[in-house]
Formats: sequence, C-alpha cells, structure tokens
Amino acid sequence: GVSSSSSSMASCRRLSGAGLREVLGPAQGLLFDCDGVLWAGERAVPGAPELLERLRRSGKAALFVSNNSRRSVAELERRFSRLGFRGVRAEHVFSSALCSALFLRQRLLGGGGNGSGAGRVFVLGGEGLRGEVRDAGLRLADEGEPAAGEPVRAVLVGYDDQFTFAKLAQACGYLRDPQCLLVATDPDPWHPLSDGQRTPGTGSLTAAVETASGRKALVVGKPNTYMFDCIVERFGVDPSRTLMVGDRLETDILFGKNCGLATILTLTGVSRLEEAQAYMASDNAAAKDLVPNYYVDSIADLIPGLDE
Amino acid sequence: AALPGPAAADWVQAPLDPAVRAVLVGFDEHFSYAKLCQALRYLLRGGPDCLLVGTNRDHRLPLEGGAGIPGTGCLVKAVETAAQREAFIVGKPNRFMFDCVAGEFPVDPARTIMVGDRLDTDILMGNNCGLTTLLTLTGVTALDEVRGHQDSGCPARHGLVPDFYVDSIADLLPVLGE
Repeated sequence: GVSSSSSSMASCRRLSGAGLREVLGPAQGLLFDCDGVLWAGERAVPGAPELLERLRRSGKAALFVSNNSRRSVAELERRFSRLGFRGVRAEHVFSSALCSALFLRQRLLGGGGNGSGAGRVFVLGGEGLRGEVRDAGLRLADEGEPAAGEPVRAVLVGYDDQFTFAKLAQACGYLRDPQCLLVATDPDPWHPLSDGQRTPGTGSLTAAVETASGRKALVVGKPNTYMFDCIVERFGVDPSRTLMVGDRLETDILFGKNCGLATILTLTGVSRLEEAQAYMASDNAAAKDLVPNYYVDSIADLIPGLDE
Repeated sequence: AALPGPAAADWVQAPLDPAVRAVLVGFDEHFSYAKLCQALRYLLRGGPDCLLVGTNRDHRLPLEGGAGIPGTGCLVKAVETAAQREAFIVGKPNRFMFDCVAGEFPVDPARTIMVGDRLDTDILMGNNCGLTTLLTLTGVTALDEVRGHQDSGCPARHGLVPDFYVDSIADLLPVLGE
C-alpha cells in the first residue's frame, strides 16, 4: 500500500518501473504543490499537464496545496488554464491565502454570527490575499488608519512586496492587545525565481513582526497541517491512500509526514537530492521527517505508473 | 538608485554594484521589501565573501506610556531569515564597542563602571569585559527579572546579573563630592 509508517524513516527511493505501479496503483489521489512541481515561473514542467490528464482518466483525484499567498484561488484557476492544465477548478486549489482566510473566519466569526463585532484584520500582503480575507466575510483594517473604530482582532502576515517599516510599526500597535491574533500564511524564508535568484518570503517578514511584538505567529501553511484539515473537510481524503508530491523538503515533505501521507520529492524545484540524502544520514531525529519516501526527476516520470 | 518597475520580478533585474562587499543593517525607518530583496541579492552573490553585519538586536525602542517602535533587531531578523545566515552583531553585548572605547581612552576595566538599563545588552557586555556593572531601574528592566536570573541554576544567565543597582542614576549624586 501507500501508507507511510510513522515510526520508521522514509528511504528516499527513486520511483520507477514496477515500484511506480505498486505505489500509484492503490492511490486514490495525489496532493501537488504547485511552484517547482507543476510549473516554474510561466512555464509548465514538461509532461505535467499530461500527467494530470492521465490521473483524471485513471479516476484518481488531483488536489493542489500551495504556500504561495500571492494569488486568490480564482487567479490560480486561470493560471492553471493559461499554462495548459485542463479541468482544474478553484475548488481543487488550496492556497495559503485561502486557508488563512478560512482560519481567520473560524477564529473570528466562530460558529455562526455575521461580520459585525468580529473585528477587523490587518493584512500585510497583496490584493490576492486581501481578496480571500474579504471573501471569507471579514473586514480589513487599512494602512495608516486611525486607531478608532472596530478593533483589529488579527494581524495576517503574507507575501508582501510592499512591506515597510511603517506597516511593521502599525502591526505592532495592534499586537499590543493580547487578544489580537498574529497569523502568518506560510513560513517560507525565500522563493526561487526563474533565473536562479531568490526573493524574500513571508517567513522573513513574519520574523520581523515576531521580533518586534514578542509574539509567535500561528503559521497556516505547510509544514503545518491546517491546510490538510481544509482539504479533508471539503473532499474527505483518506491519508493512507493519498500521496503528497512536492519540491521543498522543509515544507512539502514534512507536511506529508505530519499528515500521515506517503511523500514523493520531485527534483524540478527547490530541493536537491543531496539535501534529502544528507537529512537521511543525519543524527538529528527531526531530520528524518524531512526524508521523502520516494523521488522522481519530474512528475512526468509518474505517467508510466498509470493505466493506459 | 531607484529600482525599475513595481514588483519584485522587476527589482531583481536591476544591476548590482560590483564593489559591494558587505550588507550592514541598522535602524531604518524606511526599511522595505525592496531593500530586503536587494540585501538578499548581495548576500547570495557574495556568499561568505559578502559580510552580513547588524548594528544591534534591540527588539523595540520604548516610548512613553508603554508604546514602542520596532527596533533594529527586527530588520536584522528579516535579513537573516531570508538569507538563512547569521549576522555579526557589533553592538552590546558584543565587546567590540568596549574595545573601541578602550582603544581611544585609557580605560582600566577594574576601575570602570558600566551603567545601563538592559540586562542582555548593557550588563552582559559590562560583565563580559570585566567592568563593574550597575543597573538603573528607569528603563526596560524590573528588579524581579534580575532575581529570576540570579535564582536560575544557569551559568549563562548569571552573566545577566549586575553587581549593583540604583532606582535612578540621580541616586549617585550624594556620593560625588563638590
């Protein structure tokens, strides 16, 4: 079967041939990270659209779980289509932007109740993230707004390429109230760009807010398991029959481990095989959880494992 | 120089100054994602040949009434997290600044008192440099914080305990002659 034992360490085996059919055969569905797995920048990974099509024809579910908090799921649906992936609908896509909004809705609106009295959310992030928070029925605090008015009950840190010292100070002002939540969309310290450069991630901005406020953020994204809870609630996924496919050991593979999913590392993104092997050889107990069960050079390599 | 375009994808195309060999993070009320982006680019380009230096790690600068503004430590942490490397911090408790003072003035540590309000910067540096340390209570530290370190079994925390304390530095006036 595909279930991953929680007590033994994964062994990072290349998935191919008979092993491929043994692993994919029993799987009911696959969870895919997006950046570095399905596409890199504006280019689909060669063979990735075909893999998704073959999964559909095999009757296996494909769902998407991404730490990228820049885009709304509606924008992501359009992106899938633009890059050549057919049949992916917004409801299949779980971004950290969406899940952070769902998390805040749960915490601030609770069981029932309308928007008033729930308090506002101060968002450090772009329009995609702000839109998801609004769509969840929450009201936003604006930058530079005076302190009077409905209290701010949460500060949400996401990918914010317009982050400034002034916004950091404003966030800290709200966080002086111990009732005000500090939530981060994801822990990623940086993201790769197509030319090999890196851009700072939400994790670096969250570190600034945590340091200034003396608070620890609740992190919604991978490797934490909240996004999997959202998936289970909407689609009722069985972890023992589901595979997690990702490119980043510290987020995707650890997320799979934390959720009880068998994991496949694809080498078209951030993590190198040598890093997985180093974790495997490490004496550090925590390092073992970053070792994938399997790896492939690209997700296109999964195609032969599916029935014709 | 101003960065082209509105977004990060544009900023990473801007040319880097070939002469830059260090990123220095200090108090910057104009800190922005764009600057963080540029800092990361220099650090990645230079690797260990590009220094990452921070002036200090203070979390907040306290203002009246319990308010405060974010300190340099927040900005240092942002750069360290993005670059996944640790900054060299020049400020207290590092002894570098004491060495600067001792290099300019004839300072005998055995006959010098360090006066400060913060245990993990002022007092720790003073203790590390062999100075007599005096805590004043007009700033960030309350006395029970000191007791906590004193009563802990941890030798590292004992370094945070001052030799003496006063409620305010004005309390020193009576012992100073005309």
